[in-house]
Amino acid sequence: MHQPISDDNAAFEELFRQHFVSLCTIAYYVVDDKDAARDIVQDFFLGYWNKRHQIVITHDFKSYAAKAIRYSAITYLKKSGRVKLEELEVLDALAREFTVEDGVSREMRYNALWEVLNRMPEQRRRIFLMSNQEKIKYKDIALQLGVSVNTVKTHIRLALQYLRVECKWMVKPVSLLLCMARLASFF
Amino acid sequence: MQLPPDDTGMDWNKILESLDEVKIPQDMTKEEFSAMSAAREARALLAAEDFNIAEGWQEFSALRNKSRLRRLRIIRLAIAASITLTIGTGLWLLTPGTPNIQTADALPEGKVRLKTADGRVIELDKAAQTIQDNDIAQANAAGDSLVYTAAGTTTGPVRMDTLEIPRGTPFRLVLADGTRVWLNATSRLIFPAAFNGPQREVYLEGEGYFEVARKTEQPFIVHTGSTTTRVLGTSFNIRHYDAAVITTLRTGKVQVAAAAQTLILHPDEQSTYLAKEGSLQKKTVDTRDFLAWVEGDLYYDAVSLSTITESLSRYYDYAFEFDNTTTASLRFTLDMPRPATLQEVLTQLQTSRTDLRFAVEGKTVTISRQP
Repeated sequence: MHQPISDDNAAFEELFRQHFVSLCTIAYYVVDDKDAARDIVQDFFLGYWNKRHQIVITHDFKSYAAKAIRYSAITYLKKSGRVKLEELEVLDALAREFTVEDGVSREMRYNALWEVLNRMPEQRRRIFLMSNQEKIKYKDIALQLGVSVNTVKTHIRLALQYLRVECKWMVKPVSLLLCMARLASFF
Repeated sequence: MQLPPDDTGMDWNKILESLDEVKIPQDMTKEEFSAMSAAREARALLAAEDFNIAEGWQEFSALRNKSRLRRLRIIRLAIAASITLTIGTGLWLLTPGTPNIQTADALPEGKVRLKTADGRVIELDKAAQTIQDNDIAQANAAGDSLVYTAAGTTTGPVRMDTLEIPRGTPFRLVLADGTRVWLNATSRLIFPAAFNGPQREVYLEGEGYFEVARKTEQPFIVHTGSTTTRVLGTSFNIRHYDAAVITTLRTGKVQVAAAAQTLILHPDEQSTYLAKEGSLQKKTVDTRDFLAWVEGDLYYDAVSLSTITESLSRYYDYAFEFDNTTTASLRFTLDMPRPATLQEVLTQLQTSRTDLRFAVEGKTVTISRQP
């Protein structure tokens, strides 16, 4: 049982600092736009600050906030009109997987991810990061590195397969059917 | 350039292509869904480096301080409210002399209705729906807003849609030009699905708050009763529930015209047009009085109970009666997020004056004072 926070600005700042990056990451997972993700998180904290005496959180702040952010992010995409409704359903199911509470913090996952990335062959790591961090298209990666698009794809596939083997937390036991059932209640 | 299938039988091409295009495939197997989930998770984790806590906190502080003054008032009242809300209802029911133990917790039943130019009437409920086949408008899932998107064509006849807000919750609308409109309960806006002419013209009854998208070459005009408000890009509120048309400016500059008179409003200025007298005058005001509803708050600063209940009746679908005019003219200051039920507001009023009694019968609340 998490109590609503007091008027104490310092306590609120601590809460903000503790959760800001994780929540931005959740918003980003859905909207795929860093500025929009930041705005969604700011909106959430402003609303939480303004209503902090009203909101009684029955579980813990983290899962409450994660849920709120995921919902706002989906709503944001819906309003933007650039994602189809059917895509949104799948995206929401994916985002639920991402925010599921399994006792492994974002920092732990982040560190584990880098540890595994560092064990990969250099070319594979480089291609994986170009695609996933710098958001460069496969064909442009191929052009820049002087390899074929198929080689780029193979490296990324192998990187993903390696990550799934090495990072246990990436494979979650939640069945797709269960996700879809929960979806039905959401939409 | 296709990859051979691996031993899991999943289609890696589908996953890799959707990652490259940032698209979401809809027919994934369980295995593919799981791979997709892992791939997107890695991508999101990598993005974390670009979210800076110090910058985030700085931005938050700036945003929050913008409205700090009014927030401080809410805080004080909200503390009182949070205490009374838990025990208030019980206490009230036990108060001797209460003739009726019905509580005012019914929710308004009216639906927001959109009448389109082609004669269709669409009731907007909580479900997400697309209003027009050609994708001009879309209602969101929360059922409290409607977004029009410009279809790209800027010619053709102007067709007007009508949006009617019943008693209950205010509604948000984004017009085709990006102008944002908050319509208060019991209001109506007539507007084109696309702005094609030399001017952007809408018609308002009731109360609306506008944040007009700037388009210097195409002025935005709000017709309200016999007044017209002409703007370029600004935010303002127009209230026209009774004989008076009250226009309150928050930012920018507007020109108000009525009965051959015109006035220019600057921020924090308000014009009042009285149709009967034909008078148009302006004064400087606390805009919070007229804009609180946009933020979902109830705000009354030393306002008479009769005025407060008139406003409450629009949100909660209850009528009010008083035992005498002295009770009706009692003044209250109230600043709180608008609660879901009227009961919570009544409880708050009673906290401030413990001799107030509320008798609820059907949809009528009679307010009296204990002798």
